[in-house]
Amino acid sequence: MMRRKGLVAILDGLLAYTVAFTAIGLVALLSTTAQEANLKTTYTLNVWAEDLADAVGMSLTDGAEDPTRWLDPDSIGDEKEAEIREALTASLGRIEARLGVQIRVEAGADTIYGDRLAGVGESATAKRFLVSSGGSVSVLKVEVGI
Amino acid sequence: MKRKGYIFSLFVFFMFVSVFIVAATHAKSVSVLEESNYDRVSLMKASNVIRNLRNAVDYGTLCAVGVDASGSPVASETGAVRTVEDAGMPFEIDVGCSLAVATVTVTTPAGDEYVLKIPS
Repeated sequence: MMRRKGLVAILDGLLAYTVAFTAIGLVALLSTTAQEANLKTTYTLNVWAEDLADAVGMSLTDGAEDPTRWLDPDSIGDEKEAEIREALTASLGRIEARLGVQIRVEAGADTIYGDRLAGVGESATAKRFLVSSGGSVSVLKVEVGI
Repeated sequence: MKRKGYIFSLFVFFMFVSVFIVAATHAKSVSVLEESNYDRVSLMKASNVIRNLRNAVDYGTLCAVGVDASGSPVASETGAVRTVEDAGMPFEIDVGCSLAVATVTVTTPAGDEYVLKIPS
């Protein structure tokens, strides 16, 4: 009888440990699942930022002289610059609505689109070089946040 | 009653083992994904910057090389093109020039560096 009580106590203890470890395992599984989602978000945001930077850079050209050279907006003619800004504003607004993200684009000293990202959990940045008048180099910066 | 107890214990034990195995395997796969994620993003950023340097920006503007009186090339550091991500942002990108060779360095949030050099 005593031996049986001892055995039951051991089994109860084992059961308690097993349930505890199972609970710990489930918590660990939940946290790694959340971590995996964050990693995929990081990758996706960076891909979007890089693609947007390429797309915006390709639109910042004067067209007439060299369509492949990416220019600082100050180096583009006023009329052409206004057209480019209008097209970019419309396109980036649609992309923001479709993807559910916030986008900000700065070219040199100007902000072409968007305000400072507010209330975002995670963001990614992409940068490209632009040629300014006088031959110096400025920076195109695209930020995407979600 | 005894048999039901054994079966129940066996069931709980197998449940524990399966949850433990799944959690351990998933944690390992996430850590591998994290490392490869940084690799993929860093190399993607570096290749995009290099393509930008080659195609869209006059390379001579970026890495202008002068010569001294004897005709030897003079190292040029173009401080204006060094771009550093804002504080707190991941994936720091740094571009420097020396003797017409542009060096693109991408630093991941983990502190690993990818350095690519492209000559003019």
